[in-house]
Amino acid sequence: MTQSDRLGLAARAFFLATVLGLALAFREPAALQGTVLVIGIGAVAMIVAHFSVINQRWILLVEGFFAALAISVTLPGSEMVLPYLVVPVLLAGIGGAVRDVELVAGFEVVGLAIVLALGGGAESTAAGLELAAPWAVASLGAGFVGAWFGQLRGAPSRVDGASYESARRLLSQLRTVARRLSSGLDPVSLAEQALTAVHEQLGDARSALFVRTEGGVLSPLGYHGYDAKQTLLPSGHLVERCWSEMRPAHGPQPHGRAETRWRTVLPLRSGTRMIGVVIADAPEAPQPGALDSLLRELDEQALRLDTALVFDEVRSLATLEERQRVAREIHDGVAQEVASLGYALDELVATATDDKRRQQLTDVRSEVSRVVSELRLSIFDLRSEISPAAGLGSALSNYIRTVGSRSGLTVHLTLDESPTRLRTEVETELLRIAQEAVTNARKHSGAENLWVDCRIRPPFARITVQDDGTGLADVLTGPRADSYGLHIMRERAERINATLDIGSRDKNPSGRGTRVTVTVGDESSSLTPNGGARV
Amino acid sequence: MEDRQQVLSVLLVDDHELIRQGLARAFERTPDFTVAGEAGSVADGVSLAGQLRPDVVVTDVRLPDGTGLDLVRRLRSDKPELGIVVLTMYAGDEQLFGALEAGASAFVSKDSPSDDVVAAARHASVSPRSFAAADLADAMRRRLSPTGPQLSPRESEVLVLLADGLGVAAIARQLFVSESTAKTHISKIYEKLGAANRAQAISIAMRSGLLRSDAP
Repeated sequence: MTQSDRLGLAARAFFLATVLGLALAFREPAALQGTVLVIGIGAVAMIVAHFSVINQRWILLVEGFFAALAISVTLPGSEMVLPYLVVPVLLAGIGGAVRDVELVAGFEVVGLAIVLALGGGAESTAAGLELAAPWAVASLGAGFVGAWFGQLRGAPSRVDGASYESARRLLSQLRTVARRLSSGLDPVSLAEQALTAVHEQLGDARSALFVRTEGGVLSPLGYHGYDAKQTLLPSGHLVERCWSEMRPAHGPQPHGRAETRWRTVLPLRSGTRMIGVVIADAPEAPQPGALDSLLRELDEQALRLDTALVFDEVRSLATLEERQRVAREIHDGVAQEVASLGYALDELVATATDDKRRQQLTDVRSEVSRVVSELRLSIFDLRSEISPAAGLGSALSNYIRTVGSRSGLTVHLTLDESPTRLRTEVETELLRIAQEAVTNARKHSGAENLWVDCRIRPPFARITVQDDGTGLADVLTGPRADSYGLHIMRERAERINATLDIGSRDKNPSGRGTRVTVTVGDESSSLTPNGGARV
Repeated sequence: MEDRQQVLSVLLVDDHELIRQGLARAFERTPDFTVAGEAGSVADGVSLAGQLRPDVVVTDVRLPDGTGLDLVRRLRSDKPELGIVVLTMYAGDEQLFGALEAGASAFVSKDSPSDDVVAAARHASVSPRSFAAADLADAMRRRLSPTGPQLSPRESEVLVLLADGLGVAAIARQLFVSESTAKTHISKIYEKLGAANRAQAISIAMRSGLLRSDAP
């Protein structure tokens, strides 16, 4: 039963129950006759409406016409059945346009007029008109109300259209932002802004901003002030209290020096969710007023920051998905075909009778093997990702060691990784840049040694990849510069606000070997209290 | 006829027909092997292995209804003497160690010539409960070398003493060094671990496996 079927049944049943009740109450035979006729007409109309494809409008038209005939024939005794005339017009109104209302009401009037004009009824024409006219007008009015109601009900579909339209507009804006990349939606500069606000409200403070990353780890997005990195760690009872209550928590630091005696932990809230915290150490407890206005400002900043983080995450997920898909495609397609070609060549080598021929085939076979190895490494490249538990350092060393030993490069890896993590998206881009640099060294330089230095002190990180190959002097200016993925490396670096430096391993620009350095964040914030002067 | 005992039957499991064909030829041109059957999925592999009772099963890792490692586990659980060779296009170590842990007898990559697969199958039939792989040693080295923060032997000693709750003076006495040397070691440990204090250093060391909870 469709919705319009149900509506039809409800309207008819309501009016019929009313008129039947009245008819029975007045024990008027003419009214009963009229009622029975109308019930019959209504039932036929509903059955037709349910089982045929005839337009609702024509059914209502015929129903109205016959109902008008039946009622007017039994007038004036059936006076109380007249309200039923409202039903077809009302349904026509709800179902569609004003034009249908006029049409159905018109046919009802025609039906009434025919009978009354012919004088078929027991009453005179004038008296009949007097009885019927108000109901004809009333049904017309009900029809208009129905039409208005119908349009109101129909309205959400137009609102939907509008919201799709605005969603599309938002998405195309997003696309524009995504093209321009970091501008405006860059988590690091947003964090910087938030910390500046903290600095303004709490006075001369040292502060840090942490956001929750995948796996529930709090990752630093920015530090402010001397020695902030060493002393502001995302742990302790103030952080826990702030996180669980979603309100600022502050208290004295038992061992704090004068200028950092009081620690304040501020929540970064997005709606009813915590997305991170700001930790600030200041000389004294914050003023309640300052805290309130700071909190208002941070709430606004947090929303923006959350959006930026979600945006990064979406982009990173989409890329990951695509890489996995391409890896599967290579694995199941071209790689297997080339491998089977290799097996076919093995057959030819085994059955070759001529030594020279066998040697030629063996050479081709080893070339095919090389292609398959290359495809295996491409699949490995595409599939390598950073496990939420292990972090960039272990992903990078796993990648470099595997690729190094598969391609005969001697790998010299130094890894200096702090236990705090970079954001997932930053880790991913850094890994990809390093992968690209290693691939260049492997494929194009004829290098024997590969040096990879990785220093991670969130939010600062620096990865240097060097080789002793032919160098990039001609590559950077050569016609095939783009095929070395330099463009993609730069794009990736831009996406996370990192700087990419590509040059020779020697100071001499035409020297041997290539050095690729990618740096993210500010190194000065990672200095140790003694300026790194420790033994 | 006396050679009949020597002929080994092999079941090939790979969803790529060309690969199966190539391998089948390689086995058929080897006198001591015959191809008992071919399957393209884990389910078919399991049922054919039950019916044909081959001496060796050669399986791909990625199959349409599961992984070849699932197949290895299922076969190994009730056929301890079956030779199992895992063949793969993947280059990562996790497939190699996955094959080892699932109970495979040999591991060969798909860039190797088909003769290598035959050789691995022969090895597998002779010694099903050992494990042979071309770059096993490299992979082991990669697995054993730690990837987190690395402490010098001396620093590791100091870390254990720190975890025992010893003070700087006690550590210096225990290691027969001056207190300032002990302090240097400690601050070096804090720096490498990114810790601000002793409790944090110990908890980070525990997490990154530098300190075992059962250490004395």
